[in-house]
Amino acid sequence: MIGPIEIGIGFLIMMGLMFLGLHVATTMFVTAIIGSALYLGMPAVNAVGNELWAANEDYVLLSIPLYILLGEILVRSGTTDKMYKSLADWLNFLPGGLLHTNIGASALFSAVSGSSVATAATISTVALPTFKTRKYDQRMVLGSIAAGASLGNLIPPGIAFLIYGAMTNTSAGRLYAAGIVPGALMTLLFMGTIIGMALYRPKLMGTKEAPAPLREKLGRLRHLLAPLVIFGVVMGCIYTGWATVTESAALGVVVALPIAWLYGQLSVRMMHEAFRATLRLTAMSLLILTMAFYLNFVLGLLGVTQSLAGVVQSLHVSAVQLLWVLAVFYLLLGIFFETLPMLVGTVPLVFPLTVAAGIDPVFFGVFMVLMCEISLISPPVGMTLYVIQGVRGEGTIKEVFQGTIPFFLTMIVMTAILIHFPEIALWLPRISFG
Amino acid sequence: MPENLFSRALTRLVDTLVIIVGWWLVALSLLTCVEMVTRKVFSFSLQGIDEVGGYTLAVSAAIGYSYTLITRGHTRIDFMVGKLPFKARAVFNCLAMVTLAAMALFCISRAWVVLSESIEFQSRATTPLQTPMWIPQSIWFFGWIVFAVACVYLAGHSLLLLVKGKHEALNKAYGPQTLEEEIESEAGEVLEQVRQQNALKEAGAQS
Repeated sequence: MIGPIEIGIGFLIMMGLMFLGLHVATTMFVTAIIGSALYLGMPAVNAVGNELWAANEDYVLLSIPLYILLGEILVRSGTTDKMYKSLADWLNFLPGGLLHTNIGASALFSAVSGSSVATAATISTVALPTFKTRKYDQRMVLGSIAAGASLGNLIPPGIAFLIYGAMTNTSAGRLYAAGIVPGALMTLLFMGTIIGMALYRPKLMGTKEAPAPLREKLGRLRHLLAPLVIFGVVMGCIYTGWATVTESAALGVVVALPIAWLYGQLSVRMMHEAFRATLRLTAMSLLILTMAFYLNFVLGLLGVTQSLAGVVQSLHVSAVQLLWVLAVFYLLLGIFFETLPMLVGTVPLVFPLTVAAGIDPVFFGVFMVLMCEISLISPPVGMTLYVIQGVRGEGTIKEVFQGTIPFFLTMIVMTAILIHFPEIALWLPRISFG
Repeated sequence: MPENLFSRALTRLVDTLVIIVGWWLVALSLLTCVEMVTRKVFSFSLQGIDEVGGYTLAVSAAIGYSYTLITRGHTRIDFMVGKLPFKARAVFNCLAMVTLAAMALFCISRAWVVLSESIEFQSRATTPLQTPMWIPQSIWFFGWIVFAVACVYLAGHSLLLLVKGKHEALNKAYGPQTLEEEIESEAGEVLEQVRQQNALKEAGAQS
């Protein structure tokens, strides 16, 4: 067993290598090799081969490429702007009008798309022209898109939950169930933020348009069906226990094909583009994940779990205190890191700490994903912010930063709610899985 | 990548593999649905979809690695490196490629041991299918070989650029993607589609 100081040094070496701009996968691999060469000897180093095979030959993880593929097909079915319009029909009456549509559309889109870059870029391209003539405060427009795009991982089926589940041996189905209520609450809080801003500073809001005739609204409603049907089928099968997470992902792919066909977008060329995007995102996540598995394996042999558990017990911290410390840690880390490296790079060390403090693994998964969402919109590195600015092509990035501030604060409030009322995450998995 | 026959051949090979894996994923999804229906309705189960699914992930990942490498998608934290003067940046970009190549080489040397032991001991999966392990492992190993070859090739090229002092070219080819490049590679055609729809709408509004 190695002591906490060696563990800390190892963690710093890994972070240091990351900051030198090495590939994130390489930094984990190097850290794992150093650890096993120093303390365990050649057998542990040579175990890489078996770990590579064992980590990747996994039926549950097959859900990652399948969910990504499902998203890529749906994204290419050309429904985004129709979906946006239909959502606007029903959300426009709220104070803050069209801004709510940004939240709703981004949330729907990002729930099916595996890439937050793609979400932010697509929703910006759809939404920004509609705002041109309506005199909304630009910052609110940009902020609401960024906030919406960050929702994707919390609302199932997200990839982050699958990765967390694989790394910690936590059931992906339970994690998905746990994400629903906090995801919905987060969406409502964002909308509440917009309503609050609209009432407090009416000048920030633009002109509202007259509601469309009901007949037209109902006619457009069908465009919301595609994402809802997919969501219903995929999640329904998981919650009723009819299908495993991977099976329902496969079902989702099969249902997405006729939807793309109905919209006249299904073609061999489109499928090939979807395949390329799918494998690219899959491999991006899996190379890091594979190396993280090997690192986890080495950390297990080194007795890191017991060592860290000892630290937690000797400090006498409560679960709530530990979660707040972690929240601050992740807020700081989120300034520099994107979702995936942050999740995969810290879970091997942080998870044993939380287990020792008696925190439920399912709950911690939700907490972790929320931290990832915050990192997406925290300047100056939040990738989505730059993407939105890039699509916008005018003004400065500062306006995007300012726009996210109210939503960033809302996320902090959400973090507090989650830490102090863990039941909002744990309630649904308990009643659906016992 | 440098402009030459080898780069084109490599890109072509990787792209073809990606497309094959893609269609296989669709086929496997269909099979999974068939299996679910027969299991529910006829209480008859096609054995081994999950096992094949596991192999599929290993193979898709191994093949995806090279595609992601070629399209510069493997994740790096560019926060500090991006702020360095361009010569120092070139050194770090080269270092990232060389270490990645070293990792890939080490991985294939160990992956080969896994495969050769499966062949030597004629190992089979402990499942109803009793798959001889060398079959899925050979395809998986092939994916890793392609990845390692691509890594070594690109690392060599980046070293060459560094030695020749072509820092700008090195940063352009091996630095983290710029924002425009990243948007293009993750959402390029989708955005094109949306822009076309926007243009159509504007044309409709004017007429």
